[in-house]
Amino acid sequence: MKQENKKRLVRELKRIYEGPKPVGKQAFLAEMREREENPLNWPKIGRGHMLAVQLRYISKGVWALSLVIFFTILWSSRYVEEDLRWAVCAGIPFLGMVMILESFRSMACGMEELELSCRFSLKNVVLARMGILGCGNLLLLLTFAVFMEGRWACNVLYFLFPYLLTCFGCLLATRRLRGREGLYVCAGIAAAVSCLESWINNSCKWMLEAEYGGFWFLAVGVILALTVREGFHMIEKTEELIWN
Amino acid sequence: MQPDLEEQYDKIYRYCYFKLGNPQLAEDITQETFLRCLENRRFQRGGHPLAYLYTVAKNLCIDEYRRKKPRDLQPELLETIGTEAAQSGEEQLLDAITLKMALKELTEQEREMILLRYVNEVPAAELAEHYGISRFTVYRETRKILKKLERGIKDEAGE
Repeated sequence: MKQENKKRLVRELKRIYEGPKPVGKQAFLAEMREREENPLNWPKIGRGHMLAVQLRYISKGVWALSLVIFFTILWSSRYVEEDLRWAVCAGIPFLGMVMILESFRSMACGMEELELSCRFSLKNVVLARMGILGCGNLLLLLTFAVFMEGRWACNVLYFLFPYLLTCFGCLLATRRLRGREGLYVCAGIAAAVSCLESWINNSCKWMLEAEYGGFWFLAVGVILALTVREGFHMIEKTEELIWN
Repeated sequence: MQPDLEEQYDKIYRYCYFKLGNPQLAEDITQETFLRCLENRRFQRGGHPLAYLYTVAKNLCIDEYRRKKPRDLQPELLETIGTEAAQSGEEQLLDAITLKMALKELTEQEREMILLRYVNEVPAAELAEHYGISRFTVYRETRKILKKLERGIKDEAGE
C-alpha cells in the first residue's frame, strides 16, 4: 500500500472517528489532581474495613450450617464407637463444600455482573470471603484436632486431606458449571469424599497408623498444590473481564 | 511511566463511545476506567499502562453490553458521520461515505484494532499486550486491515 494512500486513509479514519467531545473531562481531571495533591481528603478504605464489610455479606445461614455440621460431627462420633476421627473425616467435606459455594455464590447464582459493578472488584470480594470462611473452618478443624487422641500433627493431616480434596473438586466444578448444576455437582463431590473417608476409616484403618504419616503429608501436599492452582484459575476467571 | 491523563481521557472516551454509542455512558465508563486504574498498583508501577487502560475500558464496556441487549453499535454510529464531513466539502463527503461503507465490511475486532492503532495511536507494543499477541502480528494484522479497507473503498468507488 502506498505511503501517500495510507496517510490519506489514516487522516480520513481520524476524521470519521472524531466523535462528540466529552462533557465532564475538566471536572474529573481537576478532582484527580485534587486527590493527588491532598490524599488525606480522600481516605481509602482499608483492608480491615473491607473484610468487615464482606463478613456482613456472608449469609448467616452459612455460619449456622457450618455450626450444624460441626455439632453433627460431634454428636455422631458418640454413636460410632466414640471414633471422632471417622466422624470428622466424613463430615469435613461438607464444610469445604459450604465454603466454596459461598465464596463463589455470585457465579453459582449468575450474579457476578452485579458484583462486578460494585465498589470492590469481584476478585477481592471472593478472596475476602474465602479468607474469612477458611479461617472459620480452620478454627473448627483445630478444635477437632485438639480434642482427638493421637498425635496432633497427624490428626491435622487426616482432616486436611478430605477438606482440601473437596475444595479442589468443588473449585473444579464451579469453574466449569454455572448455576444449580454446579451446586448439585459440588454436593455430589462432598458426598463422594465423605464416603471415601468412611471407607478409609472403616476398612483401611491401617492407613491411619503413625508410620503412614509421611504418605499423608505427601498426599496433603499434592492436593494442596492442586487446590491452590485451581484457586488461581478461579480467580483468573473472576478476572475474565480482567480488572486489577 | 504513567500515561498523560488528559491526552488518554479523550482517547479512552472515543474508544468507549464507539463501543457503546452513548456519550454519557461512554464518559461514565471512561471515568470509571481511570478510577480503577489509578487505584491499582500494577498500573502505577508501569509496564504496559495503556494496554491495562484499554483492557479495563473494554471489560467495562462488555459489562454494559451484558446489562443491555448485546448489539453491534458501530455500524449505526457510522451512519451519522457523513453529515459532519459534508461541512468540509463534497470530495471529503464522498471519501467519508465510501470509507464508512468499507468500514462496515470489517469485523468488530478489525474496526477496534483500526481505531486503537491509527486513531488513538496506541503503540504496537501496548496493542500486542492488550490483545495477547506479538508485535509482529499487530503490524501484520493492521496492514491486512488497511489493505482490506483500501479494497473496500475501491469497490465502493467503482460501484
